[in-house]
Amino acid sequence: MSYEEKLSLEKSKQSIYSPSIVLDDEIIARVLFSPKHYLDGEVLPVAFEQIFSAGGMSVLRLNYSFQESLSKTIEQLEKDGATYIGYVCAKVQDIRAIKIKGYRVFYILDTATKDKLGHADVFAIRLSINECGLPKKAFKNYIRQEISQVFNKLVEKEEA
Amino acid sequence: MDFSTAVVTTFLISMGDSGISYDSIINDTQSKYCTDCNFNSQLDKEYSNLYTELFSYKELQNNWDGYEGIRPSDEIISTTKKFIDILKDNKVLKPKIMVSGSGEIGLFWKNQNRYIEVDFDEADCLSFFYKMDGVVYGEDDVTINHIPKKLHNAFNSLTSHSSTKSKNNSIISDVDSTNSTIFLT
Repeated sequence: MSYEEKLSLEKSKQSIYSPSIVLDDEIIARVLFSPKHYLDGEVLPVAFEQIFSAGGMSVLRLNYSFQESLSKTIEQLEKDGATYIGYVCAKVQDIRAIKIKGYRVFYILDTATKDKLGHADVFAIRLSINECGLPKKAFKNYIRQEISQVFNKLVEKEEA
Repeated sequence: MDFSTAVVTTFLISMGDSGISYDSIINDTQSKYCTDCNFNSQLDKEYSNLYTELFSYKELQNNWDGYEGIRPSDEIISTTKKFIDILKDNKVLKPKIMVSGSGEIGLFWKNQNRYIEVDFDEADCLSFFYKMDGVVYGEDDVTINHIPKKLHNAFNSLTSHSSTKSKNNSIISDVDSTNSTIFLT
């Protein structure tokens, strides 16, 4: 899929359960299950490793039954032995504004499920060294660090 | 300048097999040896915590991050340790350490709008990138037997941004709130 095709996916609903495409003025949350993903209250770049997976990085949209979706996510993942820590939030427009040499490096799709209407995924767009000036691994780690910068401090378990 | 009381100490830091040497000049009018002892003691203490965290990664279980995370391989932990040894031997500011769900280990330094990250995802190699005042640079799969020259320069740039003179007039940079230091070389 080309760069343009990936970005064009944001303009149409991607799930029959989706309440809407993901808008710039929305806020999304990434749920964390390890204390090794944050330090001194700040989320670390490694917490966003999933942006490189084929299925994207799961996030929850605060506008759409967030608490219910959060509870279901916690329940599902704790069943597999994980321990919920908290979540971090970011504005969609801040993620979409991350660019290298004019190229966007993330796109966000509304991947709602039947029991999580506010589910979405963040995907990384891989750029070649000619496009971004960085070799593959440096690029990957650089954009991972960039996205970590737009997420706010951890909302800990007790506050959630 | 009163040269009779000033002692100029030059640190020649050999960089492993690379054969590259770097000079660091410290003007010490008080007690060089005492300063060195205190500095090394502080450095040992700080790095000790880093090693402890690194070795704790051996205990990670499958799915440790809730997203099917795996633990780093022994080779990656060993490679990271070798590079931390090099950093410590060269009296480089202690980095912070992190581990990803893909089993990769990262070291990073952050100072205002300057950031350096070194990552380990295979044996005896590192990849790094830095962002300095809007300039981004990176390299992949560099052997770990020395500090790559560009990375070395980035360490200097990071510290020169906030360098201060210590009480004994040594050129030492306070980089973060933990009072970690790095010699300018």
